[in-house]
Amino acid sequence: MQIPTSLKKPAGTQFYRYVRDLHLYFGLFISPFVLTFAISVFYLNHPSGSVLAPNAKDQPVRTVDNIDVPAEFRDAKPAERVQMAREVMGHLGVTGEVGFIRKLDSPDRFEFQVIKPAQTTMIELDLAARSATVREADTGIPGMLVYLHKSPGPHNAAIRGNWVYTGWWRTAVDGIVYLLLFVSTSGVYLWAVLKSERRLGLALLGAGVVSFVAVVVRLSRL
Amino acid sequence: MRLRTTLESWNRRLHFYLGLYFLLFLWLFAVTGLFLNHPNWEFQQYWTDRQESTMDLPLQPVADSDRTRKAERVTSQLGLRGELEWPNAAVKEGELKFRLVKPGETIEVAADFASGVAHIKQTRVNGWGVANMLHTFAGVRITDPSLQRDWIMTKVWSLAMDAVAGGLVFMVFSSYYMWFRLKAKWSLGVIALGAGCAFWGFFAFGLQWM
Repeated sequence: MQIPTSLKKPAGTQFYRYVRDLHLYFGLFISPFVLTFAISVFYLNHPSGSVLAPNAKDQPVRTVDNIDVPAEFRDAKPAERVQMAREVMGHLGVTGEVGFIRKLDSPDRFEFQVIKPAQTTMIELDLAARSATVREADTGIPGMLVYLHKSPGPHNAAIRGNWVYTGWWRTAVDGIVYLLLFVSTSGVYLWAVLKSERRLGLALLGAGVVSFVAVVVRLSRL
Repeated sequence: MRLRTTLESWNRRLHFYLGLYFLLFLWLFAVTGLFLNHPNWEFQQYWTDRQESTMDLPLQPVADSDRTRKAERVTSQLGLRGELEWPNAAVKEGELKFRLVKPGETIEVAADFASGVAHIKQTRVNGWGVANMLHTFAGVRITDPSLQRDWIMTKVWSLAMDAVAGGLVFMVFSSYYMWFRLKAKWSLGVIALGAGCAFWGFFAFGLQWM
């Protein structure tokens, strides 16, 4: 039996409803992440002191002795050195992503940074004395937001993702970006079907494009 | 009732007006964020394709005890532009070393006032490099509170970043309000928002306890 035309829903209407619902539900899902990235921009753009140091609440420094570190640590390649550092972290009860490792003033002394949301730890390792000094700093909500925004990031790519959860976060953020691109593109479609808003919307879209191009061109080459 | 209708109408309009205006900015930050998290992606490699050039330019003496003002005067004298940075390079008496940065270009200046010559090294990268640098170009660093924005264009771009961020915050809260007014969408909306919060909460707070 053929369905009367009057009862058929135009394919466009159904498509519009699907897009509108997906825009809503995906938008709600990614909203905590969008807020994280947006709010952290204010801390990154206007660092007052530093979320990593002066505003951080330092925990008491502790020194742990009898730390066994392989002699190869001194001359190991970055990725191998990070693995050894992670074993030291295990003895010290410290968890997080190793941000960097650097030599101090003697060949037996190294310093490395361990970071995770709301906490930054600096570990000073003395291979000769077999001891480690641990300085933990609680960086609070601002530190948590900034860490999530910047992690994993492009720096020290050879060792980045040495904490399994950094890899998880990278994958999560990839997905959030793709969903954000869908939400923004679907938003343009949802606006475009509103005839009454087309003129002003086009003007604003055009103004945005002109602003963007003008600033980027002026900034990058002139 | 009328106030609520007006409020809802304007809330909805501002949601998509802001979205339309900031669309390109949002796409830039989203896509370059993806690139910054995957520095090994082959197609966006830009550093290996960089173009470097050096030149020597005549330099007039500049008398100023403040190194930032001195660098700005040298920059103006040489007709250069960019955000001022200070590299950790050793400096001799009568010498001033600084760097000018803008998305796509880095200019290292070694001003030798004794000999009246400025040694310039210019490094330019391709479009991928420009895009990546736009994401992080703020003129300040969270780990170095002493850095200040010196170049007007850095301030303009920083303002743009703030505006995009503020716009996004507004758009999120305006979307919460629009959703709240749609009772038919509450059930699935609570699930979507709850799942997003749980997912986010694992990383934001759960990792602190790992």
